[in-house]
Amino acid sequence: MQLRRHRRGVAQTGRPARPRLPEQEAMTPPAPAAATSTAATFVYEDGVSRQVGIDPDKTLLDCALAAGLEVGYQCRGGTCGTCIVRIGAGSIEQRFTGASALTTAERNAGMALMCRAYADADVRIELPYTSTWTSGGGRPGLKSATVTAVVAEADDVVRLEVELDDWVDDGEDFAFTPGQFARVRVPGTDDQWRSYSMFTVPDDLPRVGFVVRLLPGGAMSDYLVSRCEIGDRVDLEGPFGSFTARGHEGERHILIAGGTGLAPLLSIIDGFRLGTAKPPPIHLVFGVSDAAQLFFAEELELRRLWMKDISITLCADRPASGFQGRTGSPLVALPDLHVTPDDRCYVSGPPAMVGAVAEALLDHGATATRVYTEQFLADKESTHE
Amino acid sequence: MTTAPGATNSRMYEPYVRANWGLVNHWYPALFSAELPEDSVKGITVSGIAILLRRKNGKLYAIDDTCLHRGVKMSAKPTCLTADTISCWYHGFTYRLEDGVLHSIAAAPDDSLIGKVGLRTFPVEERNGIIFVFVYNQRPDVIPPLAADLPISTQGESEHPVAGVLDDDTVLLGLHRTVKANWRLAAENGFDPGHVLIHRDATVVVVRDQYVPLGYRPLSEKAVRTIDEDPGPKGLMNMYGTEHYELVRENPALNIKAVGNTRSPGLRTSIYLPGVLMVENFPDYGTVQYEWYVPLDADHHEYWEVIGKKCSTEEERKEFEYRYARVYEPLAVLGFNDDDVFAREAMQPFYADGTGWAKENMCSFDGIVVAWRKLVAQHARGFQNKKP
Repeated sequence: MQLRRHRRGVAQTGRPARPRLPEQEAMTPPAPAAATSTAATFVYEDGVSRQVGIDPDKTLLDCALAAGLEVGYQCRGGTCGTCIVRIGAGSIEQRFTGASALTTAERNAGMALMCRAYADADVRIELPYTSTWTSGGGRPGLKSATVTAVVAEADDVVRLEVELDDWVDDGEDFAFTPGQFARVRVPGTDDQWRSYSMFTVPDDLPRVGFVVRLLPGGAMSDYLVSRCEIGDRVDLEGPFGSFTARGHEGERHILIAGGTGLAPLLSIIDGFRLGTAKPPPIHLVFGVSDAAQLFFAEELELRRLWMKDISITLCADRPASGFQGRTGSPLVALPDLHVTPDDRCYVSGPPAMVGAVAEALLDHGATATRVYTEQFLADKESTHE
Repeated sequence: MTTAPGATNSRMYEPYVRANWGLVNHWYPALFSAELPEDSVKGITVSGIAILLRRKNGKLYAIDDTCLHRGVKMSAKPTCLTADTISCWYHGFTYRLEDGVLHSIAAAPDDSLIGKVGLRTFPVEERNGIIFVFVYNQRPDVIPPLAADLPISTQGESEHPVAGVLDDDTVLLGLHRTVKANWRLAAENGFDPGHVLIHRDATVVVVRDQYVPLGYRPLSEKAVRTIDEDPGPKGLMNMYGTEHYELVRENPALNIKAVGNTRSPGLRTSIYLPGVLMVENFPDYGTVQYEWYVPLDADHHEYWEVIGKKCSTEEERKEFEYRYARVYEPLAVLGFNDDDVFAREAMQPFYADGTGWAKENMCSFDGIVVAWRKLVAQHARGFQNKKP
């Protein structure tokens, strides 16, 4: 049976409309791991799962919130239905004090309302939404789009911009979280899909932008260089990925990009810039092999102008004259960052660079669970079904 | 102001172009004190955010006007069941005025939401007869002082100083009205040195034989002075009355000349974040006109026009009130400024769909307008890009 679409209590933007106490604006920090052996495993639709200690005297919702999980809820009283879940394994007890929003059919199908559910043994809870849903991310879908710009930004980097056809401003249509990517089908082919991160933000929709590294003989590269024209039809699938911003206001965000790995990080930066909360302190390190491959220099200058707490370091293995940055890979910029265990670190780019930088970050004192990586493989095909 | 080498000019103020619904994290005027007597409730809107104001037992409160239950405006039918709460008239959701927390629900005193959710409260200050409110989407850790969002003081800074908004002996008299134009068009109209053309026929100008040039031509970068204090004020001042601005007296090709013979010593205009204008020594020498352009939504702003004067005695105050009623309000606040309202509403359709910013053609006296856009893009504390 289909899980009920969680539309109740969801605001126009697709995010749960739950009001909070004025001082509870920021995501609650995770509570320390419970000493109890009773655990609830929360599994999101995209496979992300979190294990949380259970207090048998607290509702499952309260246990989830205490652990800092982003889950859907609103009324806390069993009437709005937003917190509906499926019990995948184990059993729970529902204690309703009045009329509830759970129908008999739903109950028979193994569904429950978290705000009125109690457990005293291990239980597996399936959430009917992705782990990025509460930050605006939507379900992946197939979209048709039209090319609006194809611009050479550097010797081997092309900026590709499309406009989604028939896009609906309902907060759910291609709703992505900054940092996510889309699969793009090479026009003129049936099965050549390539994955690219959006450098734009949801506020730009229906405009979506990618940066593509040109590779000799690559299917997308050939199309962009020889055949691409404004007005071409392009199919997209998405959004995908969990390389998205997380953390609390005030925690410094260290963003390290290699080449086109800049795309998701620029989206994350603008997501902060255009959001309602004060952006955290940000340090971006952007590395290219050759200064001729440097792109988006003006974009970075503008973020320096528009944002108060951002520093940007450019790196090039082979700098050209007039290059305003460090010589070498992003690794050379790490010592001056004075990395601390509280920093949130994001690394995206070619696998070798990502691996080396992630390891170096740990050597410099970063916390392993606060280092997030996204590897850009040449001709990478998404492994998402 | 820092420049972004290589960045095209108009991209530098892109955040300003996006800010269709106004700015946030700034102080704006909400009501005149006289509009909120003791025990009353009034609703206002700033940058799309509906705010309810209440005065009870001499204390001022500002809280979200949108009931969190199902979104009605509580100010539509003021309901105060206790001295320290405000209730929504529809279902009785009742909030503490001090911190906005949901205190009770009339028909559901045991509801699970009680104590767990609430409305935002907004810092509020009342000075010289105006109630100001600090507007935000998400409350910042530090609230800047009201003075940071007001024009600079001219004491000790000008040969012809005028009354400051916050000075103890300043009397402020004026009105506010809704204008069908975006807040940015209103702000730019306030200090735009080329638009004085529309004022040459104003009654107060004709009756006084007041000198009004065809326009002001900037002769160098020194024509505009930048004010950049931390955390404010941040603004730009037209250095009229100096050698950096030329008063354009005539245009023979058009057979048009400046009008009038009576000069206005000490007349200067300056504009500050979040959109407040100071016109020194206008309408009379020794008075000052302050204007605010409070964003309501993408197509409307609340236009505040206030004349200020330093009045040290009761007699001076009475004289100012008389002159305001008989001269300033009919001839300046209404007569003279009606032409600005007309101009803003005439410009609104070109910018309404968002394409105007790319289609406009700036000319030689628009430098300060572009400088203002860049100042806002760089220094505004928050932007309201769409309906909140």
